[in-house]
Amino acid sequence: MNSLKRFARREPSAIAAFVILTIVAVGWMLNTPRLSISAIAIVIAQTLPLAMVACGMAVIIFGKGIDLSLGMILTITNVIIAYLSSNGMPVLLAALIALVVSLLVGSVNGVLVAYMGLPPLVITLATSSILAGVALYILPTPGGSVPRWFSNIPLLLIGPIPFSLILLIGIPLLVWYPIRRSWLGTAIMAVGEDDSSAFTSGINVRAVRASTYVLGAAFTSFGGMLMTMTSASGDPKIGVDFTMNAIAAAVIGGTLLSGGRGTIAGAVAGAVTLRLIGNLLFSLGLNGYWQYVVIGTILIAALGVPYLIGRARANSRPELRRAA
Amino acid sequence: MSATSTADTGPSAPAPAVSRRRSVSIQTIAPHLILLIVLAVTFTFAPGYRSTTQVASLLQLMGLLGVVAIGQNLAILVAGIDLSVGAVMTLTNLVTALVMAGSNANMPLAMGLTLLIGLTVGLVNGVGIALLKVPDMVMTLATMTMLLGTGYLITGGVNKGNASPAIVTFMQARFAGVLTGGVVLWVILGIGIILVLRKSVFGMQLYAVGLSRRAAQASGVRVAVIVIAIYVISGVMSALAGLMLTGYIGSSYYDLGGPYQLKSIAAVVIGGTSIFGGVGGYGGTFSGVGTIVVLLSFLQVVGLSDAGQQIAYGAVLLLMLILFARQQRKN
Amino acid sequence: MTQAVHDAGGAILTATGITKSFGGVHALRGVDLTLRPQSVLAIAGENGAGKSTLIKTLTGIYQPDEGTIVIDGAEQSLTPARARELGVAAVAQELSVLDHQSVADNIFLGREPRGRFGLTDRQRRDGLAQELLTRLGLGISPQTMVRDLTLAEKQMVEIAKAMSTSPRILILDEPTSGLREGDVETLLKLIRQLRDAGTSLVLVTHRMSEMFEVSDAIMVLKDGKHVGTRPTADTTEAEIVKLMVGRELAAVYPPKASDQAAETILTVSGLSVPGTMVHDISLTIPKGKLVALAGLAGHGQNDLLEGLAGLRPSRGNLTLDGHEFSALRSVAAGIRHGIVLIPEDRKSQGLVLPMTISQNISLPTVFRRAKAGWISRTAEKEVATKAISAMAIRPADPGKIAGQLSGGNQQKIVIGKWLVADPRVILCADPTRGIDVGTKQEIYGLLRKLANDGIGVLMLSTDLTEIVGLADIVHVMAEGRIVRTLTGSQITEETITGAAFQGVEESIQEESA
Repeated sequence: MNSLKRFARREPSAIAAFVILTIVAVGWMLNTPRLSISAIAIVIAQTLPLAMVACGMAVIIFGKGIDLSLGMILTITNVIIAYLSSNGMPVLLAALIALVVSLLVGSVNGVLVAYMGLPPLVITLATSSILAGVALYILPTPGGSVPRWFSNIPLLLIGPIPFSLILLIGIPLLVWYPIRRSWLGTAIMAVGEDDSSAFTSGINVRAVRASTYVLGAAFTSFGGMLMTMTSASGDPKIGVDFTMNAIAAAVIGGTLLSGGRGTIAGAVAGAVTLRLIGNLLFSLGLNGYWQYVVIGTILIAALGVPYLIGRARANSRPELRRAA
Repeated sequence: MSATSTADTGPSAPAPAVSRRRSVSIQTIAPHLILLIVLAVTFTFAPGYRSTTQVASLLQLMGLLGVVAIGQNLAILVAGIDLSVGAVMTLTNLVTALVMAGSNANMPLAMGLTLLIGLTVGLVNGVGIALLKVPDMVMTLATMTMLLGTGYLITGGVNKGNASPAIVTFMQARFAGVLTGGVVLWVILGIGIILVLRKSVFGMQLYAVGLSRRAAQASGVRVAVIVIAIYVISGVMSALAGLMLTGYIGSSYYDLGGPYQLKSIAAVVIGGTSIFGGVGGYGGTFSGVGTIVVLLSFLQVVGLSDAGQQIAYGAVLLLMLILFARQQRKN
Repeated sequence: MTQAVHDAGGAILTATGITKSFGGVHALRGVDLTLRPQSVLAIAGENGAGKSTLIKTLTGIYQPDEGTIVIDGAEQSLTPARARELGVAAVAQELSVLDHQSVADNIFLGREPRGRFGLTDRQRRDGLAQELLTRLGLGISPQTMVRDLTLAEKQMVEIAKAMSTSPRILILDEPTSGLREGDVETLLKLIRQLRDAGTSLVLVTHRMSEMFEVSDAIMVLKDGKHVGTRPTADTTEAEIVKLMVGRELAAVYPPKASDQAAETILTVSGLSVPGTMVHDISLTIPKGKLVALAGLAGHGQNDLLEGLAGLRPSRGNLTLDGHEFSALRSVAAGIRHGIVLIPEDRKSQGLVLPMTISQNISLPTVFRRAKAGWISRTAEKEVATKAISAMAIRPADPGKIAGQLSGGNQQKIVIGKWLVADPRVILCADPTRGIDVGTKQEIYGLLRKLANDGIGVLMLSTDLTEIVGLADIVHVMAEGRIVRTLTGSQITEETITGAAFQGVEESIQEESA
């Protein structure tokens, strides 16, 4: 309990993200005619890919970076798995290959940004384009297939509990928690908050920064695998929305774009929130494309409103007290 | 987008009016050299390009890209970016084709809408970035998403509408062998922006903001006004390019503007404008635009598929960044 | 006060011929430094003498352009990580603690004790941190977020961080700035303890009393050169000052204004700067008098000036030459009214370094001379040439990039550009910091002349001697308020420092009341 309180003190934004999630979840449940465990399981299964990419994006943003190619890394994973699997390769091997390719891409991004000092925004836009082309090359039209057992994984129920829920909580936990609790996690947050202080403390800023891109690619690749399970095929255009949505999810979840602040838990909550909002809009009868407008607005609001509130508070409380 | 540096900045190549000396550096010459090389390669290995039809076609494409690149250039000059340019083009293309419906009668309305779209998006972007302090990447990404959604909602995903004959003529009718209205418009606007950047108060203040936002602010420059103005110009230019696109194609297709996002950034970067802001200008971008259009066209002719083109856009941009940005960062 | 016996044996650290420049400006020239084991070496020098640069070279943050550093008998090529390996730890002048991490996180950043599976052993880390904090007399818990600490506490956390590496060589750069008497004493005691226990220390300070209380030798830097080292027992304050300044103090400052009452140029009433400590400030700037803001660094002096100039949002009322208006909302408004600011950070606020001298001079006022928004090349050229000659800027080439000039000349550009704006009031935030002594003289003369010519001058300075030498009126600030106003013969270093510390004490008492 104590460590939960500490967590809340350190990152109140995560709490806020969960509160928002609860509100949206209630709203969704009220508007969903046939609520059942398997309906929830399906929603979670649908959210899994975005949640993973959001985690990956969050890690990169923690280190004060950004990666606009994550959507394409997801796509390439999906395409590689679908293509190789439908050509006879065991699907798990295909997934492994896809993971390796993703890690390679992450490393390239990481090296270009961290070691060559190139601006991450434009670099990852460029790699994104290259990946999009490669995806088109491998799979010019949607197709490919995966074994039935593979695509059923997210729909499994372990007793009353959807396996997808276990994955949703489990993957970030297993991947990120050990890192966060180690020197690397502290180093990533330090680099994101103030890289020159981190440097003078002896942290290898470049290596740490590059590692965030590799981690981001890893998470995203898992997301790609999960996406492949859900869609049961490959689509070279599948990842197009993921980049933007992942940023929105991370931001709603409390990740500060200036680096050094935020939580993975919040990013996951943000992803679920976005998915529920999408479903909510749908059940209210609005065309799917309204999602784009709504999510864009939410993202802007998620950044602009806290800023305005912060300004207003600073203006109405002129005294900064120095003494403790 | 920022670079951390602990030491003093050294010399770089400033452009505004008051300096007598304009240092001629690699960055100023390189874009033109690159263009020459690309032209040489193209005309050597693809003799089909030596006809006036081909040249005219290339110029038309340059006109479209060139107009979008004006806005992108300004955004990048203040160390920012505009990711919504493609989406603005797309939306304008869809809306104007719908409104014009193949007749000249609705052209004024179409032009008015173009202006409206450009101004609105630009203002939203500018206010969000300058006043709400939303990072430019996120802000323009958000507006881009919203615009794409709006585009879908308006057209229902179906290509509707046709361009007015007038604009088709403007964009497609050739004179002097290779020129069209669109190209002339591009050149005029391009020269205009060069003059503004080099000789106007706005231009000087813009460069100051790009080189050192804090110092510009402390020197009395209204940074917020400059930033908002830049995004408004970018919005209007992108919308204008969208209208031009409608005339060029004759109708609308979904997300015609999409590729222009990356291409405009690439053109500006190849043109020698520093991605970190404060250095460069539209003179180089003229050549950058030429390089992109010719190169990609050449690759297409040589048999590169859609996939290959995507890879090519990205690879070219990556290459240029690697070549240029390291030097720029040291400055 | 015991002093370690100088041993005749080898030094623990020797630096020879250290030279470092930034963009053509020399910060250090051929500096030699010898640090003996188990001793405290104080480094003295004026602002801009190169002390901080030297420290950063010794800790591996900067690499010297020339020169060698020998530790343990072997020449070293230092990076912060390597320096740490060799047992060198430093506490910089600028705080580098991370606000959003805990005290323990900060102390052990990059060196967290590992537990099972390679994860950070939080318990052990917090325990070790607690030990250090207790040793430093700090009553805070290791889990506190640094953002919730006071400035003094943050500084102590920095020191704890350096000490956590059990260094053989500990370098402290102005560790007592911003600390209260009690904390200063604790720190000096700690320095002595560490020395007696075997650590060698380098102490950079501009406080004479500290130097003489705690050090075994004092090394003086002036304009980037090592001008002398004296054993503390064999030297006097006067000698050290002479080495630092190179001339008698009295001749440096221009004569002050007479005590006559004068009409008021600017009246400030009820000025508050939200988001800072500055609250309800009222003061006047009379004609012909140089007014200074003093007090411990970081108590709102700069925020006040920035608020007055419109660089920061502020509330309150100003009356200039009889016209009343509310606090300025932008620098542009300030220029319109004739209130300008020479900012604290010349490199990132005062100048656009990559631009030329001429462009910098033109920038704030170019719109006045422009025709329909278009810059007039001849008008700008004229303005630049005039300003360059009026301020004696070297090199006198309008096309030269500002970043290549020396600190003193850069500052002259800043002053020059604001004079072009024809101001009524000039606000100066530490106008001579980091500037060579010769140019300082010129600037003092200029400020006095401006005051005599009827332009209001309000300045802040972190150099107490400078304030005492220049100011006719001194407002001592503490915790964002003016706690005492001194005029004429009241203006001495002791009175100012005393009032500053008293002001801090009083506000602490107010808090706990």
